[in-house]
Amino acid sequence: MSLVWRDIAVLSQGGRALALSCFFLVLAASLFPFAVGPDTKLLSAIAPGVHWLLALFLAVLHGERIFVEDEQDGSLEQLRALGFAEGSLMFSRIVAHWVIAFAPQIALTVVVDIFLGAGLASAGQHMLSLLIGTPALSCLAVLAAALTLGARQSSLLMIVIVFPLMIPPLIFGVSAAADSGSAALMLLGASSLISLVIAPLAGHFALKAALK
Amino acid sequence: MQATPLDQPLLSAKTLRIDRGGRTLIEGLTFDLRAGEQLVVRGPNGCGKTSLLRVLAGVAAPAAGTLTATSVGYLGHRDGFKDTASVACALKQWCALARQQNPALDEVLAQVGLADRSLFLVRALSAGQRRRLAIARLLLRKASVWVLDEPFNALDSAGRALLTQAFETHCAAGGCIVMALHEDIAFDGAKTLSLGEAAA
Repeated sequence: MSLVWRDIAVLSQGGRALALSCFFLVLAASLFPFAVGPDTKLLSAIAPGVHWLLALFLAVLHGERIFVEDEQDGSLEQLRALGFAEGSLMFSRIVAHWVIAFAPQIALTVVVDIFLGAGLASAGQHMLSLLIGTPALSCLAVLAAALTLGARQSSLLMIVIVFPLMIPPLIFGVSAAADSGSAALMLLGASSLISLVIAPLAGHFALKAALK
Repeated sequence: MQATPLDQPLLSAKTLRIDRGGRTLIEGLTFDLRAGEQLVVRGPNGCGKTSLLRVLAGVAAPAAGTLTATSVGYLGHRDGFKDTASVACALKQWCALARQQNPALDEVLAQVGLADRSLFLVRALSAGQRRRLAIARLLLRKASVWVLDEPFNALDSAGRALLTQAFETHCAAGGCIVMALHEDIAFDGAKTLSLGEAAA
């Protein structure tokens, strides 16, 4: 638990990263009416897709820094020397990434929906889909960060790795947010659960290779 | 520090092989370190001193062989402190991670000569002071095995004396030390492992 708190404290950079998430969401959401036009019907129809695209961008926005600083300043070495396994380093960073990227998004769902002219009724559905699906995005972002640790052009690599892997949660997430049918929501939950098992496991090997 | 029977090695390496960049640096390394013992690893640049210490500290895995160690305190080239944290906060955070209850921060900071710097940001410290801070963390960790990579780097003569004193206290208290040192730094009373010669 102390590791999770430490990672949240370090990655949130004294709250600046949380503020970045909030500003990004509000500003990006406010641009959609300008880009698409003031047609509230159209805006509310694309609202699920907008929520989930913003989620993808947030995942990558905070994904890059997950391990880099700690690797460069020697913190990862110290954490390993303290006996923290690679899997627990992965898991705590997945939690920290989710708190920094997606907790603000879930809290601001209603605000984004107001910009998009979607009703409060649909905001609940959007929030539920984000709550269930975003852990998968955090897992994939942290896994990609572990895989690209120490690589040159790691930002480019990260985008290339992470966006294709995020397509299934994106599809399930948008359908779960658009429609209250339970099938998409269950598939979304399943992708989060599978990611929560696979990402720490795969990340274990990725970090091991990076720390060699 | 954990109580360990005197005849039980605190650190035991068996037929270790260490690779780096696809090249084998060290092969078939076997040694035991018991309470009170010090091992100095020497050798030219690139012979694998740091790679060996990273393996001994549990940071990296050996390519082959087994390693058993009790609690390890590691002092590497990079110290793992965030520039934007205060000295006291940085130490507290690492103590929390090492599950150290009520660490004697003030006492240890005074011991390493940073008593008046506890509210300073880490970025305001000089290289030597950062090294002293890393030594403070090592002292607070209360590990039985110290793995130190060029521990005297950046330290002034007072810092070196302080560290040598800490070595003596640690070994007298039943700990052991492995450290990498440059050829030109004399260090008496310790076993020596010469890597360059072993590899040649």
